Amino acid sequence: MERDQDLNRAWTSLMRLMPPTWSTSLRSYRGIELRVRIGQPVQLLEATREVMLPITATEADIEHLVSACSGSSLYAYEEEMKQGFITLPGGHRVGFAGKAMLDGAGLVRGLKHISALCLRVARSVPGCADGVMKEVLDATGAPHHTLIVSPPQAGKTTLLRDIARQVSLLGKRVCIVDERSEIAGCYRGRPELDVGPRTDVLDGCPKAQGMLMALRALSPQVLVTDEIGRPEDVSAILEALHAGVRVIATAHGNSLAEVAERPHLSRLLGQSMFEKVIVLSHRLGPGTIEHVGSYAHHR
Amino acid sequence: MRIIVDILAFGLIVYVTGAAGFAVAKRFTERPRQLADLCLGLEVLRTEIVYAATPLATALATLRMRAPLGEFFVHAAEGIASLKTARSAWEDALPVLVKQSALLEPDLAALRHLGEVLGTSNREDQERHLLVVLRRLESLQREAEAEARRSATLWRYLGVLSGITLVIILI
Repeated sequence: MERDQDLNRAWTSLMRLMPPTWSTSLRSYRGIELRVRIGQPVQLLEATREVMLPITATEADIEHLVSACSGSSLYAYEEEMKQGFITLPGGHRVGFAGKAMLDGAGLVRGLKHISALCLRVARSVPGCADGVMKEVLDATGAPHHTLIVSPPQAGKTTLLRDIARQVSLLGKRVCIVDERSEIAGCYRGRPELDVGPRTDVLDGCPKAQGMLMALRALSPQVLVTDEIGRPEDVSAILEALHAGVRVIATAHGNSLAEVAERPHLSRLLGQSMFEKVIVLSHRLGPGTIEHVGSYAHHR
Repeated sequence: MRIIVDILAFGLIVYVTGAAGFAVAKRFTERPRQLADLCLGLEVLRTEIVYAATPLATALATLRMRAPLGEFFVHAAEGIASLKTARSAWEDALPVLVKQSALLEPDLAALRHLGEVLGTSNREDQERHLLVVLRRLESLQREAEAEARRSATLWRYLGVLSGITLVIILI
């Protein structure tokens, strides 16, 4: 019930950004995702179904949305635009598609001629980690080094956020390195989603650099980060390990076997660095917990 | 007694025509002053956008210019804060200047052009657009100043002298 109210509030706040002419068509829905493309009907995703709305998006609609989402100040989101999305108050995110502009080194410096955007409602699900906390925590109440493995959209970030919140509530200093602003949904540097009272967030910060910054500056007891897999992530995690900091991270993958085949992750798993592994799937809806337990046991 | 009334009447005539001349002259001196103000405002806006990346609504609201420019910027800021596009907020605020300022069509056209692009691109691009408009307004301001020097003096003299001429004819 409370979650429904959260979703209502989130949806209403997003509806304020819509072109005024859309409000009648959108009023009766409660979506979790909205996709708008020039010349195409607006696509709305509710929890269980997809609706193609009887509205065809025009260039002016996209212009209105981009302007409303950015406060008519795209220049203030330059770094975010390089990543292709911006985070709104409330932690909701807007992704953009359009023509990429490159800099001299061939890196994306921004987008122009934006032709489509995708609004995703951010929701935390407090309590979704209740079932796994017993496994995640050791006898002293500190979390084990934990890896969450999951395919996209199966709730790994949601689970990670709630583990971070609960660990923080239990008295540990937590630092979240939130490269894509998905875990804490920061708007202007402040978490918009509940991540706990003892949690610091490095927002929009590259993971490897951020983990080292956190170790130097914030002396966390627990480091939390999303979607590890690059070689520099692995060395940063090893660094944290040597500093005695517990690490909770996620990785893309359908199964642990699949993750273990990825070159850099296999190095971490080979050294049995992660003590606990949680595997998620879509089988019984997003957030289905397939396995939780020690890595060695899983194998 | 008659002569005193005459002197007062003639004095009044010269005063009225002189004041009319000065009023017309003021229209010419106001424009370069407002253009200078406008340039200053846009220069501050450029700093806010390029160096501080301040969101447009905040940047415009903090400009604090003299009327009528101040009112124009505040009006535009409110429009943007209420989720209008910068282009339409800017367009909606322009009538304030049309009604209350001494700015002429070429000045407003330069401003209107800025409204088309404000907030729609990255900082580098915004700076380029702002500089183009600033350069245009600065050259308009120089023209307006030269014009003011010529015309303002002309109208002031014209006012006073036409009063005196009128008095001479009446005598």
